[in-house]
Amino acid sequence: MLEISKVSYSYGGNSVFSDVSLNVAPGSFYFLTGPSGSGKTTFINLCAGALIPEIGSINVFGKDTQTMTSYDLSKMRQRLGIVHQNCEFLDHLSIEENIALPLSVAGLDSIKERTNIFELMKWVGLHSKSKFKPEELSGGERQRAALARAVIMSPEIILADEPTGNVDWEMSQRLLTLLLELNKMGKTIFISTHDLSLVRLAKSKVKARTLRISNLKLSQAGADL
Amino acid sequence: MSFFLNFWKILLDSPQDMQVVPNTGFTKWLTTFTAGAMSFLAVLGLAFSLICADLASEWGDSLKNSSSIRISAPTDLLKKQTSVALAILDQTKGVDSAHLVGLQDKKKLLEPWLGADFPLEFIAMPALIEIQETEDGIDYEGLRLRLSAELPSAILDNHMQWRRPIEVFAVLVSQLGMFTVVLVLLASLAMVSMAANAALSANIKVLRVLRLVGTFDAFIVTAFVRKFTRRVFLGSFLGTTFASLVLIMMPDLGENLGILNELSLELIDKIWIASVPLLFVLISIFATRHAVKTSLKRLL
Repeated sequence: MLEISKVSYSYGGNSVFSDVSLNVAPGSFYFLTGPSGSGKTTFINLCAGALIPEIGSINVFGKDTQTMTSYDLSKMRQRLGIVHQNCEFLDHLSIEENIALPLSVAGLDSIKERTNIFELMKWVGLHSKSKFKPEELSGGERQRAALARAVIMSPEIILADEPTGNVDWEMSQRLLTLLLELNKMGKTIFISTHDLSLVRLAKSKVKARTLRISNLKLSQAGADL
Repeated sequence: MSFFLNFWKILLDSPQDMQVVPNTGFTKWLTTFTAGAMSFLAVLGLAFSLICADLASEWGDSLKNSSSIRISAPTDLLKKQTSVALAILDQTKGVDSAHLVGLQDKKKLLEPWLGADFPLEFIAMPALIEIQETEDGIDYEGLRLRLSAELPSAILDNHMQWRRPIEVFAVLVSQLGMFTVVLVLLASLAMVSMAANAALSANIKVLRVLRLVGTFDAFIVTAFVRKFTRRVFLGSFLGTTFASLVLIMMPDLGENLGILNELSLELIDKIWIASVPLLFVLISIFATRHAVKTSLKRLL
């Protein structure tokens, strides 16, 4: 599903990773931890095809991101749900339209899909704010809206980069609950976070693996988490 | 035909993909205004260029097929000498028709200088014979020699001396007009490109979000091209309409301009002018498409 093979990446000669490999199985739950600036976001961006590895390869759904055309990348992103810490929206559209955006641009705009949008908004607790503009939502609501947008195309993998970075602990728990529900549905979840208490909470509820980036390497985190 | 119908449908419809591109405030109207102003200039440049091209062509034809004989003689001899000249012309190969310019025609010719009510009939005027030639034309040297032998007071004028420079000038003005139109179109291309780039820079977040949710590049390009092309078409249509109204409302020059009598646009010229908004649509499609593709390449 997601194979990272001997990947190295650097910014202007400053190495971020060196010779990193990982094989992500379907339905698994991963946490990616590490200090600020260790390369968590770079790792997520590499998996999403927003960055191309300098050495090594990343295979997503059986295709190497290095050889993907822009069409292939779009196709891949339709099967990936991506949530960033600073979740971005189209400010001129309502939150409902933003959540429905992946469907709209894919030409999937039937009544069935409309019903799904409503159900999804209820699931993330934003159904009463469907007509609000993104700027009218709080940080936590924006994160939930970003998660709803990420899952509306029913992706196989969800890549979340610090999804709880800008929200309080209560909202972090709520977002984690949503992600755990998605994992129960068979989705592969890959979350980068520096919040170890969130990792501990997740581990008490699901069999999650924790990876740590440090000193240019990706390693299995210890059991002390 | 179906191509044009589809073209208008695509351009004028308000499909879903247009909603993803926000209106960028005053730049929206700036693009429309720029397209309108440039179309206005393009139409005027094109119109003057086409009129001059028509004039040059018409004068060229006249030059080839017309000439005149002027006879200066005392009044009592003038009628006889005119008859001799007409008889000579009757025998000259290449003459299609020849007729004596009457008093009313002379009045019309001199009206811009002397006024409508000038009593020309009381002045001794030279006789003027207008000659229409066949396609083969006249042997001017032969006719000139015969006239100098049989009718020394007659002067043959093939209009070359004064029509040739005017014709050359008209061709030059026409070429200059076309050059201006090309410059206006190139400047429009640059302006639309700059406007598209400015809008894309302001909307880089839109591109990032669309990429994030797996939007195909073709969709993004089409959305921006449609949005921009609609604005450009609206401006260009208004500019062309306004310029056309200015051309229609130009004062009627009447019949007294002689060589400038045919100062008007032919049907084919009008079709060229009507095609200006379409040219701007093509410019917009090309410029916006290029700008969006370049921005997307930078984003990965």
